[in-house]
Amino acid sequence: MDKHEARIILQSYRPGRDADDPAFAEALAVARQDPELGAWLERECELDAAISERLRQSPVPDDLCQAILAGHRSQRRASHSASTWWRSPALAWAAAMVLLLAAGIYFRDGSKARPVEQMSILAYRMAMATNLNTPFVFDVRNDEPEQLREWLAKNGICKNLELPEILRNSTAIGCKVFEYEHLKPALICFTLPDEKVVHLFVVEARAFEGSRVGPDPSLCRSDRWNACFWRNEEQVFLLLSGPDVDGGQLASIAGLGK
Amino acid sequence: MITCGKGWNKPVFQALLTEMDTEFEGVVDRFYRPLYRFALSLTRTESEAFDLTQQTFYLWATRGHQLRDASKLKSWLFTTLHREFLGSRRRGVRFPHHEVSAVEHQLPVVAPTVVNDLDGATVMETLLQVEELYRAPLMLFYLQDHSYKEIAEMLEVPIGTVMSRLARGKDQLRALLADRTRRETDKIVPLNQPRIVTGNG
Repeated sequence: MDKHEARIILQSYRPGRDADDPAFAEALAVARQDPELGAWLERECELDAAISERLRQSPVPDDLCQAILAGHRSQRRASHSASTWWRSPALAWAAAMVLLLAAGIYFRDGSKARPVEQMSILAYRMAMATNLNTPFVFDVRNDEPEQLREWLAKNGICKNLELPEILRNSTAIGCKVFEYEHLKPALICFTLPDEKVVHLFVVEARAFEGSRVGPDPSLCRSDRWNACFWRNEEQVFLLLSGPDVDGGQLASIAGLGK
Repeated sequence: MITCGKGWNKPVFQALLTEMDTEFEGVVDRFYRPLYRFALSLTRTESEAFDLTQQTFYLWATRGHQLRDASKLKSWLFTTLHREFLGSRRRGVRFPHHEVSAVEHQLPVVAPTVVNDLDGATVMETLLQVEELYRAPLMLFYLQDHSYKEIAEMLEVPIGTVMSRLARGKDQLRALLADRTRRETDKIVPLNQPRIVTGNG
């Protein structure tokens, strides 16, 4: 190995991490023999160490850890209640009592929603993806997006709904209202002009106050669905698609509507 | 022994849940910071990085039991995060693979003291301006949590490609740092320098 080749390899060398990596052994031996290369390596490592230290000090949102743990608890509650509570008659009875009590408190206090800060957008996304994975029947079928929008408004759901422009100009398939944590997320399915199908969930935004849903579309995956979510003043939008519609297309659908 | 149905043992089940929670919290506490920093280097936006990190831990909670070798946990989390990112932004074009020998170049000179004068947020902000293709290996290089073999496996490219992307990424990062330093220096006007007045002023 000559000095030139050693230098190229040593650009990737990290003294602590790669000291025992055989891929660098020969290049390091060359550097030990060559004072100029050795001095260059020393400067290189010093600069890398400085950058590394700074990057490892870069800020992480204070609420990230709590959000992950809250999402986990929320998800576990949902899956646990769905899979195990009914196996124990005693627990089922206790659950029924809790439900009755909760219903009593709920109706006594009026239609107060669950404290909004406890809503996890992650848990919501997963729940909506699960809704899509489960067979369902549309509440209403119509190929005109405007007709579905009016139907929702008439039923007191998603008033003042503003659909993204691309969806307004697409063919609708139908609409279904789900239940989620005292909310009524509405699903509208569309066939895009290029014949691909996307699914839009809309729910009132106040349920997610304090969570990190912003006006700019965020891309993610929800249980194998490509997903994009954003919000305006009144609603949170969650657009889901299969693998044939990529994140870029989802974001452009969302972005063009604003 | 944990049983359900007729043999339901609530205290033991609760203890198991608590143990699982503790384990989950331990994993989160250990890895959420480097995962978030890696996510930010991919997405470049705080909200998406936040979400991607959450999503990764969600997948760990739901599918982590499939991982039989606990020593692979760290790699599993980073690989999963990277795959989720790619999955959400799948593109028709594939990035070209450059071998390490093809990227010989001269890196811009930046003194370590220049970096020492910056804070973490500023260095991160500069890194986010590096081309997307090079940001992931660059961030994994600087996080120092992974060997090259692990980085190559995570990014699903050969080690030579990791190294060549890294070299190009370092090149870009140093150029950006040098540029930032130059601009900062240009802002400083010596007190005894005559003030140049233009236009009608």
